[in-house]
Order: sequence, then C-alpha cells, then structure tokens
Amino acid sequence: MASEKSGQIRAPGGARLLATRYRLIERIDEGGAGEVWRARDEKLDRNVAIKLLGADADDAFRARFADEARRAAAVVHPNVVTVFDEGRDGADAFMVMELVPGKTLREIVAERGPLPPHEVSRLIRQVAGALDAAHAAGVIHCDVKPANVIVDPEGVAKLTDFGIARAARDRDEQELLGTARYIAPERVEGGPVTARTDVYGLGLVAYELLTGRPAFDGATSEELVRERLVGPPPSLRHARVGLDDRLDAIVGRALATDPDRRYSSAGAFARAFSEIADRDTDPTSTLPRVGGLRPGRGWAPPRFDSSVAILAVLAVLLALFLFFSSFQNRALPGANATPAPSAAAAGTPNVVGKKLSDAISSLQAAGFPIIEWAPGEGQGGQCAVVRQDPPAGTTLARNGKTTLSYIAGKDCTKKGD
Amino acid sequence: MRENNEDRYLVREGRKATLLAVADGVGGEAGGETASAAAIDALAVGFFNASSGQPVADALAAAIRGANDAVLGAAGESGQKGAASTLVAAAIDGTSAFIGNLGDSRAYLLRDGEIRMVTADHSGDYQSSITRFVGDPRGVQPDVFVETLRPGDRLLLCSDGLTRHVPDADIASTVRRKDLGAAASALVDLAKSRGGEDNITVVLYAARRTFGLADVRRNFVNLILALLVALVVGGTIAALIFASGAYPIAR
Repeated sequence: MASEKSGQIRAPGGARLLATRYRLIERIDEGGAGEVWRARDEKLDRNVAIKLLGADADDAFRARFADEARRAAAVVHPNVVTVFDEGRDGADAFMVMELVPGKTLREIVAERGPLPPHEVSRLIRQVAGALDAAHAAGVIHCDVKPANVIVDPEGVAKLTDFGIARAARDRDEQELLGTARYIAPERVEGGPVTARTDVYGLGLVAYELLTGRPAFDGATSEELVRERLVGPPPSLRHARVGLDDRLDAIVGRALATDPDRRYSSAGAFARAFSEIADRDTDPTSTLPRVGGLRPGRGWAPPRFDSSVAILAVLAVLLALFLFFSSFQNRALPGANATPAPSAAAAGTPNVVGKKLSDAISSLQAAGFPIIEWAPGEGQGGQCAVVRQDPPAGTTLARNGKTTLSYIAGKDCTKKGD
Repeated sequence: MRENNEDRYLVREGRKATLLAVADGVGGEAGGETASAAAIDALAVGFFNASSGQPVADALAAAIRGANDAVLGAAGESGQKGAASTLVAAAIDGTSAFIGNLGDSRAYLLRDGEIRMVTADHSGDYQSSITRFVGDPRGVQPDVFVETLRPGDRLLLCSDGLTRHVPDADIASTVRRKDLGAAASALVDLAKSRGGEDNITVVLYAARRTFGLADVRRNFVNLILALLVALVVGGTIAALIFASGAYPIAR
C-alpha cells in the first residue's frame, strides 16, 4: 500500500489516488454528470465525497463543472453540502465535497411514501434556509428537486448539486439543463432566472413529499413541459384528501406559473407552509372534515376535456360566422352599421348637403334603415343631397321611410368617392 | 405458520365503487382476529350504505371512522380490550382510486414496470409498532390519497407480512406477471420463501385496459355539456338574426 501513495496508480481493483491526496474508496452514484465517490482525504485524514468528471466530457461541461464548484463554495450554510476543493487529475476533473451519510429525499419518498405535513415542514424550512443563503450570495440553484437534498441520520437536510446554478446576474443561456420534471416555467420560456425560480423548485419538493409523487407526472419531456405552461398549478387535492386547504393554497402559490405571483423568497414560503403544517403534529388529533374531491355518483362538474373545448370553439366560430353573414346579407348596400333601436326614437339627423352615400350611412347609423333616393333639383355639387323628407329632427318610427333628393352624378351610392 | 390468521381482506363491487381492503389484526390471543374482521365488516357496510350523493373520498373516510367505532365496540363486547387492526382500503370509481390507510398495511401503484408506494405507514420507532390504527379510542384520522388510474395500472394492497420480507423491486417484478391470480400467489410464496412467518395477505387489482362504462358515462356527460353549449350559442345566434331581421329593409 505504501507504494501507492507516491503517484496516480490505478491498479486493477486497487484504489485510485487523485491529485496525490484523495483516495477513491467506493462509487456511491453514477449519472450523466459523471460519478460520485466516497473517498479519503489523506492529507486532512477525513472522509469526503468526490464528484468525478471523466475525460470524455465536453469542454462546456467541464467549464460548468468548475463553475459549480465556485458557486457552491460561495454558499456557506449548515444546510448546504460544503465544497472543499476542486481540481484536475490527468484528464479528469474533480470536486471534493463534504460527505453526507444519509438518503436523498427521493430515496426517502420511495421508501416511505408520502410524509406527514409536520415532517415536510421541517425539511422545507431547512432547504429554504439553504436557498435563502444561496440567494443572498447571489447564486440561484435552478435545480431544486428531491434527488438534490440529502438528509443525514440526525434529520439534517443538505442541499447539493449546484451543477446548473448560475450567478443571479447571469443571463439564462436558454439551455434546458436539468430535469424536465422539475424545471420552472420561466426557464422553459427563456425568461430571467431569479430567487423565485428556486421557490418554484421548493414548491415541487413540498408537493412531492406530501403526496409521494411528483407534481407533474407526464411520461415525456414534452408532456411535462406542456403540463406546467398550460393550466393552473397542480393542486394537492388531486393527490391527497384531507390536507388543510390553506396548505394547498400555499403550495399553489409557490407553484404559480408567473414568478411574480410566487413568494418572493424561499423563507417566506417555508414560514407560511410551517405555520399551517406544524399544527398537524398529533397524528391522532380529531379528524378534520374531509374535503370532497371527485364525487362519485353525485353530480360533479364534468372535467372540461378537449372534446368539449373543441365543440365549444366550433360552436362559437359558427356563431360568429352566422352573426356576420346575417348582416352582410341583409344590410343596405355600402352600409354595415348596426341599427340602434334606441336612436330610432330620437329625431332623424340632418343630411342635406351631404353626399348621398354619406347621407345613407348616417341615417342608417342613427337607426333609420329605410331610405329611398331619387335625383332631384336643387343647388349643390354632384351627389349632394338637396332635400330630406320628412325633414331632419322628425321623430320617426323604426320602419318609417326617409326620402332623399340629390343632384344626379356618377356612382352616388358608392362609398369613398 | 401461525394458527390463527389475523389478516382479513375484502373485494366487493358495488354501485358506488369497487371496494378493496386488507386489515391486519394486532393484539394478543384472538383479539387481533376479532378486530380485523370487525374492521372489514364495518368498512363495507359503512361504505356501501353511504348516501349516493356523498363523494367517494368522504364515504371512504367515514367508513374507516365507522370501522374504528365497530372495532372498539367488538373489543368491548368480547372483553378483549386493546384489540386493534391496521386497515388499508381502496375505493375505485372508474379511473379514480381513493386509498385510505391506518397503520402499516400498504398500497402500491404499479405503472409502466415501476412501483410507487401510495400510502404512508403510520409506524412508530420500534419495529411493528403502529401509531394509527382501527380500534383507537382517541378516534382516527385516515390519510386518503387519490390516484388517477391508467390502462394497465395495477394496485396492490398488502399486510406487512409481505413488505417486511420482499423489497419493492421484487414486488414490482412479480406483480408484472400477466395472470393476476398467479401474480398474487407468487407474491405470497416469495414472502414465505424469504422467511415470512406472519400472516401475508395481498389484494391485487388491475385497471381496465380499455374504456369502461364509467368512462363512457363521463364522456356522455361531456357530450351533453357540449350540446348545451352549442344550444346556448345557437340560440343566441338565432335571436340575433331574428332581431336584425325584424328591421324591415329598404329595397
């Protein structure tokens, strides 16, 4: 063993030493982003976790990896997995982190199913503390999800994986990094990423812990993205009956599609959540009224599914078509003003001196659609109306007729000349 | 194997919904058996006698509360104080499944080859201690979860005799078997072969692969709604046409 200390040795089955300091012991996790190892820091004589990025990772990935280390190192908080070191070993990049024994929230939910509200509250408060600290340091995590929170045996929750975190001032590069299941709507739409982006992520975590399943459960990325952009945020009531309605409203606000409608900070969300959830500490307290969700045989508002929507849209289109076509068929030439019945009770407008086409229009607009016109004699230019019968100001019934005389001309009933 | 089986189960189709349940009696001597039997009976009676207008989730929660009273009563009558039972029950109405539980009997949803625990155990820090159960003089607060079933989904209710010995992944691969009955007995055999000595009870339900009557009914309601919308809109159009036509027109 002593000989291994002197360099980078990767004996078959033997433990590799990174940067002459960190001995890899056991692979804990493997994913698209590389591998995570339990390792021993031989200089400080302590166990650490090492995230290792293989030689086959592209440059963009490597750059992000270095970024991640810097961002995470900027956040010092008891509920954040501490980053100790970052470096290279040959072609591999690595990051040294605090080793947190325990399980991720994802593993805990898989094992235990939905958690009681007071337990969710305790976890959410801790992660909110970590997020508020990150935001204060100018770092947005951007990938808050159950798999990125580790809970140690003492129940301390620690946020990890700042892999796609960005500085608050960075522009979103419009890259859809992260899982579609947990992505915030503004990131899908390329909007600015703020502290409220992480509030959304924390809302999703709360939803999943309370119900035992992700808030969005579409099978494909497209479905997942559509679900969150269209329609209201997911309601807890669709997954778990009997929770306090206020809890549903609070999580719903954290999950608002519009960031401006969410809580302004993770802490604000956690406080609102805890205030209600912590009342649930006694598991055998008196039974609250169970809210009715989807009634069985009783009448329920049917879900407004796509077939209804399509039929309704068709009906409306048909209505509009008929509505407009009816006027085109029945209105007078060159006019499509709607007759106003109320105006018909008032007197007729004065149209003497106007051009015939304008005179017809204004009479129709005033609610007197029945007009006869004939060339007559008088003073005026071509098409000018010289006489109006009955005269202007007469109170005329709707079906009363107005007769106009005008100076003969070319195309006098045509508009726009 | 123990001589007395303290587990009880229920599978009953009714007009309101299909009701499935598993109860695992706790408490010495014959107490556990009495408790689980009383819980299942009272659950069924309470659920199917609920008024037809009551939402299924409410009816289920109320029936579980009723089961609690029944177990307390039965324990009092037979002088077996402290007899109690776990209870997990699923009421399935079309594609909606409402699942309530007390104690450590569980419900799992199996979808696309993956397994997910639907219920949360109400268990204490010590093995096999439970914090919520039927037969609790303080009253009960069942959790009720809602799942929307998809074609091909399977719902598993089971006592802790299964889950204590068979990890979730093995449950998932066993339940995947095509034949429902074979899958259920394979689960029990698996638990036994791994040293399960407690009672092992499983109820397995397969969601319809095609549209059922309930879906047709739901779609029918949608169709009626669509026709109503069309009628209202059509009526408005007719009124407008009529109104505009009421004006005599110049010729």
